[in-house]
Amino acid sequence: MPRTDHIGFWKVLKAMHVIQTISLMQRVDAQKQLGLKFSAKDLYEISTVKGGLNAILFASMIDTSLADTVIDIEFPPVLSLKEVEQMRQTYLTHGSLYLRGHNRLADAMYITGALVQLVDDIEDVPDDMEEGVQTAFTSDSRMTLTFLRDIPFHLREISNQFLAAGKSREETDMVLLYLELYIARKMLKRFGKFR
Amino acid sequence: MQRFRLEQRSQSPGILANLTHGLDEYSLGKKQAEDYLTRTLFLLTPKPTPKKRERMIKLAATTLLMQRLNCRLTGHISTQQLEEKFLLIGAMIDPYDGVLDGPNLENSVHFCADLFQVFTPDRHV
Repeated sequence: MPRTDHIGFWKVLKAMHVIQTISLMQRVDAQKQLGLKFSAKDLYEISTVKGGLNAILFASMIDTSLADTVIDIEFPPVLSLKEVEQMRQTYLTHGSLYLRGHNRLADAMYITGALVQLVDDIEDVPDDMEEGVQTAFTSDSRMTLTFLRDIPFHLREISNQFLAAGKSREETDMVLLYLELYIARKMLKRFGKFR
Repeated sequence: MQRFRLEQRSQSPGILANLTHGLDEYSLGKKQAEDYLTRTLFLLTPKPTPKKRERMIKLAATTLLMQRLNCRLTGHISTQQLEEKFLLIGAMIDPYDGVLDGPNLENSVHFCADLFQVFTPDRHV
């Protein structure tokens, strides 16, 4: 009875699979097939949720209560591209896979995971453009500069959230240090070499 | 060509089952398993480049990792085992990139649909 023993973990894993499936809509051919064109904001949201849930998935292995912040999902009986877009609208545009404000530590983890994914998106811009995958940063070139400019604010928000969740200044600083090193490494890979 | 591939797929027991079977043999070190796996992966990527092929094998690993993770979650998760779980989850999430930018959108949707079965409560994996 594995799933009933670890309901929380499987719930997050299901949500993770849903957002990964929804991310198929980042493909240019998928949008074209349905006659859609997503805004940078729509694409930003997909990356945010993907990164946020990824962090919650790992964290929920240690603290199962974190899984309570993720909603349980009924899968559609049949899955086609149309249903994938329907899921995107249901869980991203009109609803949410993640319930903010229920657990401060989960909120801190979630925004940290989101930042990690968005930084990863910036590194992947050349590959994504070549492979026909859209992110906020491929659809609007100004987004990269805006995002990089706002990184200090994102880090401050993360710091505040961890402190509000009862984590010590030392623990919080350690998270920030790792994040800064991660961002520096990714930006060097993105901008520090010729393609 | 596209139609042929879809018909071929519909006659198979499902990409999920195929890949898992292929990877089981692969993990046992049987040489022919790699050919089996390559043939199965053809359904998703007709002419994979070396980079794509590597990604597709990782994608195949997703299915098996999910099952292994499922088995190992049947018992109590000890702190000592936690690192291994993390590695499993990381290995499982990473190959989604191969689905996202695979050359055949329809097959990527099929793959996601097959993977949904893993989470269906009354389906024994």
